[in-house]
Amino acid sequence: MNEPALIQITIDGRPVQARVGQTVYEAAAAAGIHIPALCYHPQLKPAGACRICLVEIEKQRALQPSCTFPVAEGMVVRTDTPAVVASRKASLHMIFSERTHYCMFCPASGTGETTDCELQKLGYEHGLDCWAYAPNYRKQWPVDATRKYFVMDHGRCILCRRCVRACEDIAANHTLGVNQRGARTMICADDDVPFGESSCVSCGTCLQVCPTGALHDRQSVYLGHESQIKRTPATCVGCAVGCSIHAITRGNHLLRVEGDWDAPNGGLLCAAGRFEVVEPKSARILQPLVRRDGQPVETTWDDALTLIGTKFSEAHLVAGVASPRLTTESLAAFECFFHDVLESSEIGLLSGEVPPLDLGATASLRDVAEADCIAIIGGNPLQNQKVLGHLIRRALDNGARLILVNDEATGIDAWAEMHLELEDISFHAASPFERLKTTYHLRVSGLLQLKKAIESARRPVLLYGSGLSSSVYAALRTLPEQARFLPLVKGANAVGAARLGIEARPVRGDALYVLLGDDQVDGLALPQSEFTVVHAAVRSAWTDAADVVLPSPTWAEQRGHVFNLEGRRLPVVPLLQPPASVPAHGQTFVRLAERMGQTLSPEALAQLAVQE
Amino acid sequence: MAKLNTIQDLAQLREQSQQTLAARGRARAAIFVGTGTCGIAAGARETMQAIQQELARRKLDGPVTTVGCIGMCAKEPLVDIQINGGSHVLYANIQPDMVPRLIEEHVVNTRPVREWVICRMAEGEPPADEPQAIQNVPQFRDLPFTGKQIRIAMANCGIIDPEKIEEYIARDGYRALARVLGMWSPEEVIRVVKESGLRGRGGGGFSTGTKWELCRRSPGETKYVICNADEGDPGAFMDRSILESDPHAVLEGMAIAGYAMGAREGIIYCREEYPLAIDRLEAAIAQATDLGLLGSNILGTKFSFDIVLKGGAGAFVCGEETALIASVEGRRGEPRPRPPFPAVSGLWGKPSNINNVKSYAMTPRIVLRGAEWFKSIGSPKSPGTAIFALTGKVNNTGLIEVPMGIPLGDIIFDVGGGIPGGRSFKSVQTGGPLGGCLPASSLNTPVDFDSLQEAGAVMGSGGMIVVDDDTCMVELAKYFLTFATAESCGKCIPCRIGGQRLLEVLTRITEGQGTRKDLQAIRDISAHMMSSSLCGLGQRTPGPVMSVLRFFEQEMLAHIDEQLCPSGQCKKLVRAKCVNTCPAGVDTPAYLALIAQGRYAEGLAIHRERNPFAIICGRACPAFCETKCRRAELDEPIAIRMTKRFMAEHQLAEPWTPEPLGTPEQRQASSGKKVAVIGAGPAGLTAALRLAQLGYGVTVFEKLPVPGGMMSCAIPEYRLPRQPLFLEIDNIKRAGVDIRCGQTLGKDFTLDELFDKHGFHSVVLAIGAWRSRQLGVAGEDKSGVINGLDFLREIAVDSCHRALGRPSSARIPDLRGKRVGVVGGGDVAIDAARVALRLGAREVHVMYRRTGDDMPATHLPEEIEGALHEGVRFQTLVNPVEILGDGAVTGVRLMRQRLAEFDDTARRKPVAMESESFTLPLDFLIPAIGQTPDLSWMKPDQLTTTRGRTFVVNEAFGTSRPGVFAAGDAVTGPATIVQAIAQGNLVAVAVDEWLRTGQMPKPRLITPRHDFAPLHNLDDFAGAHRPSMPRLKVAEREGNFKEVELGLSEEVAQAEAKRCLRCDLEWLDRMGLPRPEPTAAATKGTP
Repeated sequence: MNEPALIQITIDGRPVQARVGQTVYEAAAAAGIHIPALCYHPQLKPAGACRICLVEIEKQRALQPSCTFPVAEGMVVRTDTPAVVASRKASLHMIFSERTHYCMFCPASGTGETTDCELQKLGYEHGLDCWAYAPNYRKQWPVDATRKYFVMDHGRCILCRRCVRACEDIAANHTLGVNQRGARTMICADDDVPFGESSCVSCGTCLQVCPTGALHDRQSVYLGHESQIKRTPATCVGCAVGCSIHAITRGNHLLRVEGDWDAPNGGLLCAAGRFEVVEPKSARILQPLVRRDGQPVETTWDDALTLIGTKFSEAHLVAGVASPRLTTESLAAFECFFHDVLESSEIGLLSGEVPPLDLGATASLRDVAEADCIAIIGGNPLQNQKVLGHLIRRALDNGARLILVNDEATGIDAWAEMHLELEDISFHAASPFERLKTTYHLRVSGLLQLKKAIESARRPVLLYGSGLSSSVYAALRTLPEQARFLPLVKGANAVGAARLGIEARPVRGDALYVLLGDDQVDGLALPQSEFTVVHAAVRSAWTDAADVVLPSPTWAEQRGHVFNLEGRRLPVVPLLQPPASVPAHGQTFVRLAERMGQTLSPEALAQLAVQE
Repeated sequence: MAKLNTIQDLAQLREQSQQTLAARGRARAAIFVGTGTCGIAAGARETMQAIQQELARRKLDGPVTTVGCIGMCAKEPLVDIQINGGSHVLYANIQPDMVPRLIEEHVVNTRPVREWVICRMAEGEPPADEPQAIQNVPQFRDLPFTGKQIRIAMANCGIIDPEKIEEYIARDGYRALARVLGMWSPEEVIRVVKESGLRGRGGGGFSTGTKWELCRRSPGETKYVICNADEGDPGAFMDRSILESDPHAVLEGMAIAGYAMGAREGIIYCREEYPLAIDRLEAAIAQATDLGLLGSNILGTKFSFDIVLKGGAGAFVCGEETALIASVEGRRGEPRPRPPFPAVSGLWGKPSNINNVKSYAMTPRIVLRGAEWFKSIGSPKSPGTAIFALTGKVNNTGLIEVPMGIPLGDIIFDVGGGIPGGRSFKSVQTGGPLGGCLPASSLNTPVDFDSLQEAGAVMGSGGMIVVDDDTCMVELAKYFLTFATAESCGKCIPCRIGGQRLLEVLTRITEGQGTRKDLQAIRDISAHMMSSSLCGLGQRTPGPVMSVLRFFEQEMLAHIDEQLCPSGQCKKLVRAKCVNTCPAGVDTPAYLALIAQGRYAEGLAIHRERNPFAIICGRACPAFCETKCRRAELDEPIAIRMTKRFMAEHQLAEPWTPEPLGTPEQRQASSGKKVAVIGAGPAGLTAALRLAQLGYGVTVFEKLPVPGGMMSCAIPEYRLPRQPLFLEIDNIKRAGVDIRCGQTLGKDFTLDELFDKHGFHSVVLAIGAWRSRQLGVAGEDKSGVINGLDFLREIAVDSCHRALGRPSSARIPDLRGKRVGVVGGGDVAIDAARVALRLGAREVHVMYRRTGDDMPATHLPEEIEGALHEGVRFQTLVNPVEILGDGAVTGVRLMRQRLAEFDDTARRKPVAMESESFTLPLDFLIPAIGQTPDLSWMKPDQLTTTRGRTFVVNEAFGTSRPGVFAAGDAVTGPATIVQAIAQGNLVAVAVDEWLRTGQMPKPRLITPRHDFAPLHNLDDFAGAHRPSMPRLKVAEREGNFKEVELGLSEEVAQAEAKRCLRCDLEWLDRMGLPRPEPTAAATKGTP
């Protein structure tokens, strides 16, 4: 791609180099000149609506919005003339007069430097110390509190429509919109239904762009200003997409999770990754438990480990099950413990089957968002890899074609231009004659159709699920070269586990070690065994049924890495201090090995993970 | 019809169609009915059915054709009849029940029905055998409505059947497209359109050719031609009418544009509120496609062009091109910032060209007739024609197409036929709800893009709303603002919020809650909206408000300062329109209610709170109250003046001793202070009365031998008998006012002496306007030339002396058998003429330089009517240029005048037609062309005066000398009695305030509000009509000064008072105030 040509412009008397295609705002921002704005957000398409970023451009008869005005060679821009400042102040005065900006009650409100509200900040910056127009306090503006995780207070809304554009352009969910006209304009969901009854999926992207306190999340509201919190870049281990997040903590509390704008997930998160992780969990396990007289009783680590050591030594075969949410480091320690100490290879992953990863060139998440043709073969990313689902829908909004080869409904079936069944593209038998016998022409043409569609596309991406018949995978291998493949892996670190040779499979033994971490087991049956150890962070049916329960750190308390479905190695960083009585997984295995008279060095374990 | 494969095919079809149409014209009767939306709404379909039935009944051969709208919307249903291939004759307002007579007379008897006919529409020479009766019908061209029109975009409107493509083709339809496809390159098309100077008729006024060129030059395979038919202005229907009446012109224009720009797809964005336009467009597109005039390889050429219709939901903002594009794309109709411009990135990101319906409709004609022809019409910078939907308070509402550059006043007064109902022009709003309201002083503005903008309005898409003096400009601005804010898309802050704040300010003002600060608020908000809004809607929303503030600031200030809506529209401010419009603010509904109950004394007392001269005003008041009476909307206004006269005369025998005013403390403070009032006219006497009532010692100095000013010394006795007049002046004396007659300022005393020698604390100059203006022509010094006012004064003073039983020394000229000429058109002129007749003149001519309608005396129509009845002859549009005669007048040479440009009063200025003069033989000439105050007593610069020699006063009536106040005609120039009384009231308040506090705030007269419940059932008087005033027979007026108006009987006066609709009670409801209890009020003051 050619670099856009460079041109010279002047902003506030300063010569500035800009690129063709940039807006005045972008060129100014790149040169370190800040132009105030409210409806502008770097992640969103500019709207030119708030008129705060108006600037004077020579040869233009009126003030122009810098956020939409393209730069041109020799352009002379002024961002600070009296007319510009007067216009900006007039607009600010008007916004404050429109709805009930009772700043003192707003969670975003602060004093000067500490405010989180972009409107209030501009108010302070421009010395707004009185009402130019009588505030509109008599009107009651609705507060929509029908959603579980967040609240829309229309009284604080300035109709910048960042939320609408986020919902439309980033999440591609098209729930939020604008209702009515003129002064009666309101942000609305779908056909003006309560947010809670709308098609909203709680991705929460709107929360991340709201400049005021209009959209605020219930979990972190009033718990701290930006200036009082700590923001840590981390990775979500909710699923195999491996979204990059900013974890917002204060003290040893997780307040909120936000999506990282600069990561491949582009600020997007799903409801689970953004909100559910912050929800209070069922009772945390802080001390080892052993079953005595049928009842779990708290005991010491020594006691518990001794008991496990004894039982494992006596056991004929110790089997192991690990959660795919665990870091590669924990999984490596687990694998090493079984291999070296217990000399057992009867280990498996709780869930998270990984399909073959060698079908062709691997696609990235960005490839999905930018694809012009998307094929989904088995699997349901809208259900299981939700952020990927948003990226797919965004690509569809931008005109990508959708091909579905699937036996189940996906929620975007209506958008599909071609809908085949898995059977349509599979080769059943080896010999051409057999093939002819079992697949009549339509079936064969299914693959041909798929091939044709892929061939005519410039940036095709194929998303394929796990557990499909090998003939389907074989068919996919025959697709044209430009196809990029992305496996629809379930299980956050299933790819990492697969690299360690741990696969999702049933295990069997007379003793069982379940490394659960903070994973949920809802509905899954605990494998049968004579002696069961469950190493978990919170109580569950499995811990209740276990003979010994060991406390585990949660996802937010561990350090390590995971591999997402693209195969990217992502850092997992400790966001919170674990309780003193809860050691890291590796440490537990080292101590357990000691009890069994063997040695596992922590250094060796660390080394293992790094090798991967 | 078969598909046309070549340009030759089209020519053939044209010939065929022309023959078919000619054959139709030769029928016994070819009848055309206007069936635009306007026609259908007026019942055109029923009329058409009636015509068909009538023709069938009479077994007459006659095709009945539906045509579009010719523009005369006020006259729908329009029926056009052509018999035996002769002229078309157009009829107005033909309802089904009129059809039999119409057919009988016009078709069967070949005699047009004169009272229904509008005009004859002959194209070319009418056939020789055309019946004379038809030839006598005036031509279309000769009507004022159509005479100044030139039809380009509307050339076919109302002429052809819009649903038949062959009629369009017969009138050279698609010929321009064929020419372009056959002979011209796209560049050539653009060159011609550019050269023609066609500017965007949507209102933007951008060069259409340049726009096309920009789009042509934009890179891209796919381009779109979009027609903006989203006409959303209230009161505008130009585009609708063209689409309904001549849809193919638009399609052809779009196809030509498509060819020029290299586009093959066209989209018409038309609002769904135009179902008929959509139907006809759909039919037209289908027909054109069938004939191969749209679609692939048009007329066998390589050019292909398709047109689709997109219905809009009727959002005003979707007329903005980027919002229109968003709407076509299926998104919320909101504008986006430009650049990129649609020519670069428009519909679906492709280069697009958007023009208005009218621009496209004009294109084929420009192609056919050439750029030079188009440029020859209109003004140099805005060639061609402008199309307006002329609505509001004009006689000829409808659709007009006029050459650009035509003066605004010509549109309103010639094409529009002026203001109906005897009202006067106040303002014209152009450019739709975002335009501007122009005042009378703008009537000479040429109507084109640049001149209108300069004048403070905009061309807009073509709405033109005329308003009369019954319209409140603040309310009007609020109306447009309400529309614009409701139609704001809500995207950008200045428009969404600014509009709302502006509306709040205006609402406040119309409710009397405004402050002077609000004017600055309007300016600030408007400036911000104009500079910073995203699109034209927001930028121009303040247009009407700003223009009102610019041209009608006084009206806005009246709302703010006095809580007064001068035109009586603002509901919260106007208790009753009669009270509101009365300069003195007399509580009319209250005294009418009392008259209805026979409680005359109470009624008169209420009248006197504001106006001490009920008898005088009962005779000589122009009765502004009656002009605004809401009863007139049902039948006729209440005869307030006559009823009042009865009330006052009924109490004639009860002398009134005016009661003290103010608190005892106030009167304590004022006692011992002396005020001199100079002039015993209505202003001076009223001021004197009020000051005396407030406890001051008041002396009135009067130059003339009798008090009363113009009331006694100018108005002739036959209008205002002297006896009751002096009785009312006696009331003033009873208040303690000392009236000294024969005391001349400057001769018997000076201003300084009043203060220094006579010890007055304050002086009120109410000296009136007694100095007649000179004609300024040769011979004014000849004997026989008498100034109008001097003439009247001699007669009036004489009558006063006689009434008082004193000897008279008046020098009354002997007019017996003489020819008298009066120059002027005001009250003085008419009075002088009628007096001259009574003095025995043989001939009396009133010479006026304008037309009769423009006479200032028209505010008293009875006067002019009376003069006509009595035999006064009116010479209008003449002006004396020379008074002839040796020493004595023998005649006057008059120059004929024509009316040229408009002056600030919305009247045309008379201009001499140099070649046309004539002589009128006369023995006496009475110039009565206006008066100014007589300031001969004044030392130069003693007091500041205007160029018209009236006193310059501040808002508290203070002159440039402290302590000296002025009021009445001496301040306002010649006005009416009631206006002088109003000034007298106020100057008294001002003088009192100044004497007590030394402050000079704007005075306000506060009197209690009187609420009386009606005791009669209003429904019983629903059918009652205004009584006519019994008048002295004309024969009995000759040679005497007997009163002409004879007065009402008690019975008639009471019945008339009961016709009052009692707007004041409705106002109580509106303000949430309790209505008066009928019983309590009835018992309270019953005599």
